[in-house]
Amino acid sequence: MKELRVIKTARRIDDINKAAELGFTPLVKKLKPLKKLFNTVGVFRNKNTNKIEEAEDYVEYRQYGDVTSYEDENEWELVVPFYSYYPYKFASDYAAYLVPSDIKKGEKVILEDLIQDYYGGSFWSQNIRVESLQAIWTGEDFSILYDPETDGVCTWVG
Amino acid sequence: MIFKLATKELFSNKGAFIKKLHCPYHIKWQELDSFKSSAHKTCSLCKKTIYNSTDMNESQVVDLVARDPEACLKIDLNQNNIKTVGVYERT
Repeated sequence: MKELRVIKTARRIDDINKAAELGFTPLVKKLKPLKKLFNTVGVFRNKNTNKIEEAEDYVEYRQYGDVTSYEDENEWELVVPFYSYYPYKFASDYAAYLVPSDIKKGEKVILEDLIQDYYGGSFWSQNIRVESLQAIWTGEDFSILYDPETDGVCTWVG
Repeated sequence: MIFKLATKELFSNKGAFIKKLHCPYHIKWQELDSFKSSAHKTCSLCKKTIYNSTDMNESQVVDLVARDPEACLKIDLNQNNIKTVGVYERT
């Protein structure tokens, strides 16, 4: 195993331009949310307490066998119908990999904060986004090394 | 134990902070070398043992981190001894 250079990502225009002043070449990319990472949510109001809860369906299954049912119309009212949304938030709709001036074509690196979306596994009904991946610099772009067998498994080390 | 995915922080069931998972090398569990007949693995970059927390109870993890605050853990979201929260940290 070899230590790989870590390529930083800048997500704000000021940070990108600051890096450019320092000699990095910003490889700017637009964020393209992956459909597979979208979630569904609706909002229910409890008719007895007036408090609201978010749920992804009329019956919500959670970790450790927790099940909540919103099926009883005498108790629950769906006040926001189910809709699909992208759950991750970023500072901007674009970001840039900060490419160092001495990078060599064919160099394998770590993209510490991925701009592109990759599926990182499922945790109950929630699909997780991969945060970092290895990649190879082609001279113009990073060819990302994504292996669903190792990168799509919801595992962390540290 | 409780694992806050958005920040990679591990807490006890009572909410006491145990450690924040961070690997400067962004190592994948599958890349690490296995010990013979051990659930744990070793990292050739930092020469440390990576403890598989799957079969460790909370006391074992707390003791380990108390003895060595830099101890490395492997956490799988779907392991039975950890409750995962803050998957997206929606704002």
